[in-house]
Amino acid sequence: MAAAAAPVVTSAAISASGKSALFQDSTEGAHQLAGAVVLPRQHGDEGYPASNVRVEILLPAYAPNPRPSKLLFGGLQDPDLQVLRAIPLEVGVEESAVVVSWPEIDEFGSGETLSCALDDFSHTVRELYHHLYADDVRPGADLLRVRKVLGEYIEPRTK
Amino acid sequence: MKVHEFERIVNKLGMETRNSYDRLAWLVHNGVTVVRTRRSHGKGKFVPADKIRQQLKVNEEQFAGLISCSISKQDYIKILAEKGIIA
Repeated sequence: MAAAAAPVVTSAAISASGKSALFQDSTEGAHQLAGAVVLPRQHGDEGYPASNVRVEILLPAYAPNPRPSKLLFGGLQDPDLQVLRAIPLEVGVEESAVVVSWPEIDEFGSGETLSCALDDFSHTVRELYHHLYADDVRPGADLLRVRKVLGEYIEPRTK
Repeated sequence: MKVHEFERIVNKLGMETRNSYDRLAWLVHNGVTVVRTRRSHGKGKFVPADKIRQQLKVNEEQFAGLISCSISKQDYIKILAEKGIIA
């Protein structure tokens, strides 16, 4: 057997006589509402007041780029090598990957972000330095030039 | 540039390779290391074709020939010799 749902009566809906508004006629209820704060009616045709907020929309091609196009790099992170002069790098984006390059020796690093690209470049330059300065390697003319340039920027740490 | 295209060049030129942080490749001619290049590990990694081309010391047409079959190792050695990279 289903229980009958009792009407919910809040304290505000109970009059001074103790009777619930449910048992009073509608005109009496309307008089009670007359003194209450009632929000103004909303009219769809009035519209909203003009905003004082200025919005500027920039297309991506014209938006300022927080990534520099050139930078000086000195974070080689090698316990055996130290940077003598900051390495000048060019920064670009190719196929959504960031590419940093050192045009003087045609070396580069790439990654999803600038930090990843610099980390990749750091590894590459360290390996290139160690390879070209290894005793068992005979570099050709171009790689001798690369080794000379590397030596102008990087040197072994003195223990 | 695809990884398999990079590997095609490396194999065609008979470059020496070493897998380290990156995959490193050197062309050794008559005991002299003449050019070097590299790529990141992983098939999904970006391989910047233009940077690889510059490291191999060829123009765009020659680079396309290296990827395809139109430029052989002997042709490439000749290109490097004409540029003075190989004595």
